[in-house]
Amino acid sequence: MNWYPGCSLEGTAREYGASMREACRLLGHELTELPDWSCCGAGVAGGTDAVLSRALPLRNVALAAARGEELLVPCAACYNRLRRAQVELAEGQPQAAAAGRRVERSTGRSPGAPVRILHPLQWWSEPEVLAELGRRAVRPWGRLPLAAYYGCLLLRPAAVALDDPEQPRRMEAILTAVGARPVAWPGRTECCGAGLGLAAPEAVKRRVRQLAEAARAAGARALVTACPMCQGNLDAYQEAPGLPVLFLSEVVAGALGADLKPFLRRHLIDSAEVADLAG
Amino acid sequence: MTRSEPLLVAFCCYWCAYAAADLAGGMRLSYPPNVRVVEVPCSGRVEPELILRALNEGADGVMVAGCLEGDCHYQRGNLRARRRVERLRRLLEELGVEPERVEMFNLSAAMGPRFAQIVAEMTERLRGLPPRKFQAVEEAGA
Amino acid sequence: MQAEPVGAVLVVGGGIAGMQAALDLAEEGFRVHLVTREPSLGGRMARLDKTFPTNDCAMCLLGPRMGAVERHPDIQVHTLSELVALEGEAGNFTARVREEARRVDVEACTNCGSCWEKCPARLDNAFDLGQGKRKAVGLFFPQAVPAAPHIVGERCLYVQKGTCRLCEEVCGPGALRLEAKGRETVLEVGAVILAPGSEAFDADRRGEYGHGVYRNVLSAPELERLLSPSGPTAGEVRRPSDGRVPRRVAFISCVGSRDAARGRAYCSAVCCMYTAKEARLLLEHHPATECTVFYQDLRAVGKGFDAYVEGVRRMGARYVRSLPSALAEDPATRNLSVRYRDDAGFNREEFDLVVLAVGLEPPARAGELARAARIELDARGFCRTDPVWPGRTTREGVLAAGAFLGPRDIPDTVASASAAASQVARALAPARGRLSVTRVYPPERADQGPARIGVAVCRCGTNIASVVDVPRVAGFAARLPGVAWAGEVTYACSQGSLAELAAVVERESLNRLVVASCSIRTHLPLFREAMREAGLNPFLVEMANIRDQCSWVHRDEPEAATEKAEDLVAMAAYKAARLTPLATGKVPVVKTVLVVGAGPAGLAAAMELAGQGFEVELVEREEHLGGNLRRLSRTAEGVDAAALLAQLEAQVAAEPGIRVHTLTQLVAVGGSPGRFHSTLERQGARWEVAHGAVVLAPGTRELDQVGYDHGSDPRVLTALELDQRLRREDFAAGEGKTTVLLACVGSRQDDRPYCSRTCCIQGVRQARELARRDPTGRVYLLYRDLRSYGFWEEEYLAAREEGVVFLRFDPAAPPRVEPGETLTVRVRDEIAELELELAADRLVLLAAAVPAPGLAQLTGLFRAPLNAEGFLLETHAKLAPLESPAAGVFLAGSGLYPRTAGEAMVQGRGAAARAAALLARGELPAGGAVATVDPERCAGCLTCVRVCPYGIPRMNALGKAEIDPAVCHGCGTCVGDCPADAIELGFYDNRELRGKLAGLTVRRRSA
Repeated sequence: MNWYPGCSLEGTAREYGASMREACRLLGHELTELPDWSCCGAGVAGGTDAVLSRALPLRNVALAAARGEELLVPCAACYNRLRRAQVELAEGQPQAAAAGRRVERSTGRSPGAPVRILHPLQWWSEPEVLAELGRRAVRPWGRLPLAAYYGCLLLRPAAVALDDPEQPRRMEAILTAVGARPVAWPGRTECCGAGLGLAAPEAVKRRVRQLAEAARAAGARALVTACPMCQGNLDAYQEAPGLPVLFLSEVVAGALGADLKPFLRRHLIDSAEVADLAG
Repeated sequence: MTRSEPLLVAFCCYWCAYAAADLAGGMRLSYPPNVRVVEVPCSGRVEPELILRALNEGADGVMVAGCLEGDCHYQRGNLRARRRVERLRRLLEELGVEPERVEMFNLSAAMGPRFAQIVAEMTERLRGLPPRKFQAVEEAGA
Repeated sequence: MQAEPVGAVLVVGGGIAGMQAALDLAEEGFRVHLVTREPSLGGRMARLDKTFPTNDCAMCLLGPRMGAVERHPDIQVHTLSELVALEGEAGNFTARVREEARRVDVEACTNCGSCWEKCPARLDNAFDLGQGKRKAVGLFFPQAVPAAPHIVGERCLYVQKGTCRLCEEVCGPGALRLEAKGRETVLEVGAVILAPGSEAFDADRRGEYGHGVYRNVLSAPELERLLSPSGPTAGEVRRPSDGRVPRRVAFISCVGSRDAARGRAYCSAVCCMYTAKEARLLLEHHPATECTVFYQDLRAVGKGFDAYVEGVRRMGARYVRSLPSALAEDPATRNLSVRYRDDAGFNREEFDLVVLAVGLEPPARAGELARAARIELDARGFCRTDPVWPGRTTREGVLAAGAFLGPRDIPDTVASASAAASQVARALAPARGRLSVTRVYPPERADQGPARIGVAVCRCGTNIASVVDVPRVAGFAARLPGVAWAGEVTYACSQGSLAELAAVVERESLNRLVVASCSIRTHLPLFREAMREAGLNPFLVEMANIRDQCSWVHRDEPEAATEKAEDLVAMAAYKAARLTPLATGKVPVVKTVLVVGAGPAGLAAAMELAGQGFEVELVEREEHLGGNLRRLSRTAEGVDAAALLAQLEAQVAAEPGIRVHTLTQLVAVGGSPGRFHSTLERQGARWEVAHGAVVLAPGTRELDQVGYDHGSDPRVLTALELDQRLRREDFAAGEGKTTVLLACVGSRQDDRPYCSRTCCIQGVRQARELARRDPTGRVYLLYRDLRSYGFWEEEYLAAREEGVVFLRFDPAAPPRVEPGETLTVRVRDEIAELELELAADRLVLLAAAVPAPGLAQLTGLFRAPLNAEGFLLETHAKLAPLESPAAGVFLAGSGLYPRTAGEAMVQGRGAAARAAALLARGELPAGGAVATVDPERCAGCLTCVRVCPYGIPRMNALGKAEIDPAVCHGCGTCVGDCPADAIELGFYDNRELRGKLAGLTVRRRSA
């Protein structure tokens, strides 16, 4: 399966990338990195140039389309940018069209060619895959209460939302399939503070505190997320002792039998206790 | 109704007073449960004999309620009623009965709160009067 | 149209609109097939607990209608049925109707309940929106009409698996038909009325409020079922998560309305009011409840609505002008937390229960119905119609009524149904009476022997039973002299009870009836009718009001209320024992209608009546026809007023049956309903006209004392003055000027507390027009609540997009205007929290609509009452919105309450239908409760001749007074004054009233 790690999975969220590869391997899928992939532009490019901010993701879409039917994109921000640009191009949005032309000229590939931009949250919650997870789970999570945290970028705007934006269910389905017990809690779709960590760290701290408190009050032993930004904020800005913040791929990989220590070592909040509860 | 609670009969015209009483119900207002409504098409139907009979049958007081003057559904039945009530009050006084036991009121169908207020007023008034000594002559074969 | 049209009509929809149209048409002599997909009549209204603003119990109003529809010999009800095809053309349609199998024979069923008691299949109760359970076989709801169960095939064990059949085993009369199949019927009709109603917005779609996920979030219809005494919790509202009584309840407005993102940009018109009603009901049940209503604009645009909301606020409901964006659920307590912003800043509050005011959307299967009927829907999915002829569809001969045309409340639904009926009656006029069945009553039994009285004590659901000890009252009644039978009923007015009573009358050989229930003004005609059908004289039934005048007003004194109820029953029984049968005859009516007022409502009424074959005397005191249409540039519906008026005038002129009298006033009225004779006056000349009924359509005027230097400063205009200028295309074109429109001038204030309804929508239209003509100019509209209700919300949105600036101000700090070189308008914008200074070149005052001058005199001629604000008063706000309590008098247009021209015309047509229903049969009953002179006792003193307000008693050749029963009004004034007691009034004679008084102390003396 072709995949697009994006910048963060090679850097600050390296454990996300590593646990993704491991989880997929245990599911019987080898991940092939998209050759010559480039940065999607994330949140930064949008403030710089409207055409560039679409050209950067469309370049990767074009490359992916030329290589296969699907592209797995675990980073929520990359997913949002790639998918959004793809939708805008299809709708004939003028800057997307201009970006598309630029991409076609530079890569010789068409960004409008069909390719399914796929996020693990979508993929793993498909009914056959859920069943597969259940079958292959050798160390299910023993009904460990976990708080599914979606954040923003996977659910908004409506054109790219991969679940109901207000009452999403996919992550809960995946957590249940691997033996955990997702809790009902009010922060599931609330923003973590996103990229404000540099400009307004107090705002991020407040958001993170509210989220962690809400998850704790609901009885969760850890938060689970599928976005490197969210995980980064939640991991870095909580007050001690923090509630562990796991990547969805770590939870899945752990249930499938992987040793989670190498991944969890990279977390700021000590999550070893939680890891031991797998199986 | 215990011995001490007065009994009030209200002759209410269908168009205004009875409607106002219904409206008081629709508005879920509260008023004393001492009142018993006898509906008539027009307050003009009410003659002194009926008022006396009500007192005879045990009422401590009688109110006659009709439309606002000038607005009687049947033009001026309420004016006839008022004349009769006034004459009856003078007669009662001569007979040694408190005239304030009987009174005529005017209100419109939209005046639910006023109906409740009138009932409360009359009831309170009757509570303040000494127990009735009035007994009319029984009419045979009624 | 070839030959004569078919004198039958298909009405699709069994709700209040369908039933009203069906009754109007049946009364007018047409055969009606009423088709509904549901197992029972009732529609949305049957699901309500109470209705605003009268707080009447919905089923109390609806029950008699449902009964009347079922009983009417000219109406055939087809339940569980759907229209699948409509071939043919206006006047001659062939309708194919598919009926699902009920699997119960309605004729044989006695509604005993054994089948559903035994049925093993439990499922969610759809009528209660899944909040309770029912069996696969059962009644749709307790007061269902027809009163027979139906089988939910998807959950019936026999239908699904061929097993069980327990219901069949236990059914005494053998009414189960498990093998029954659906079938198709073909109906030949001349016209079709589509009234399928509306659906509630699915609250799940606003995921941020968590409906369907958070246990303690309910939609308003769900709360309505919980509030209803016949609902799943018998009227007790409990929190779904833990069954506790909720202490802190939040209402969130506009869920699924004013929501362009979900394709529901329009306003649903009724939610602000039903939210106030539900808050009020919660407070009535539990006065300590903290109710908080979150809202945007309070759209209390109907008669008495503002006062109603004020009343609810005085009861303690808190109104917060802020819509929360989301709810958060506390997983431990299941309480909901709301974050909102008000003047003080951001707040967070917790609530036990949240109720979502969901909007109205097109009915389920609207698309299928439209395809079957071959009509078009509009872009929103509602019926596409004509702004001047609301109710017309895109297919001739097919009309629509009620919420299918767009969200509206019950009075507007009823008016639209009557309007549709009128248009159908007009189109099918040649066929009137062809297919109708003459009602045949059983012969009236001779009244012999001693009185045998039956006493039915009604529980009225819990309205009476929750305060009055009904079993005790029934027990007391049984011991009264002359009472041969006494029993309890749940809803005396329901079909089931009436049938039960008829059976009891038969079984116990009763000849008098006492019904202890609600008001004579509500149901006496119903019980009199029931007497006729039981073969008894209708004047042998007496009612005791133990609800409106007892249980409702003595709620804190149940013992005293019960004693009072016993006294009232005794009084009624004593009177009943002395009642005698009264004869009624028939009096021919004059098939002419006097229409007073030639504005849009009057013109529409006149044309409908003329079209139906009645003569019309159209009276207008101005020199020209049109009323306010002469002063507008466009109606609120966007129609050119002058063009519309020209069209209406031409249509009126083309109708030979309409005689137009301008500069004419009505100066005197005599006679009685069916046989009025009125005196008209024009420039000194007077003449008389005879007519059977009258339609009053006096309209309104714009308030003239508006302040703000209007009259002295030419830059200050009223809305109508602006509109007159807007009639010139070049007015304000390209001037680059600033116009400020100020709403609520003269409305919603202490001395005039009502809302004038049309000013916001007309103001928005004018603002858009000014913005369009003067692209470099500026237009501001200053408001308190922007009341662009219904589809007019979309105009408001468009105005904002077109650059009109809307500023909300607090009525406690209204805008101040200082005239100078420009008009400086100082206003505090409540939304931006800024003090603004606007330099206006022009100030437009959206002034109040006030009742037409001289209205009191006009209505005085008919003894038609006015309400406290000086508008025409209707018999019943919900179910008789176009009739005056004065018999034979019908009401339409702004004279009732400010209306748009389109709405006024619908009311005009509706009033025409009601007047036509009165006169259609050519005769009216006469006699009954009238005065009669006993010549033996009459002394010929002439007192009655002098005191009768109508000059009716005449002295005959023998020197005795005589009273014509056909014209006597039955007031009894003569009875009260006759010195010889020679006059008796039917139903109120001295024996009867003395008897009633004798019942006063029966209870006390027997205690």
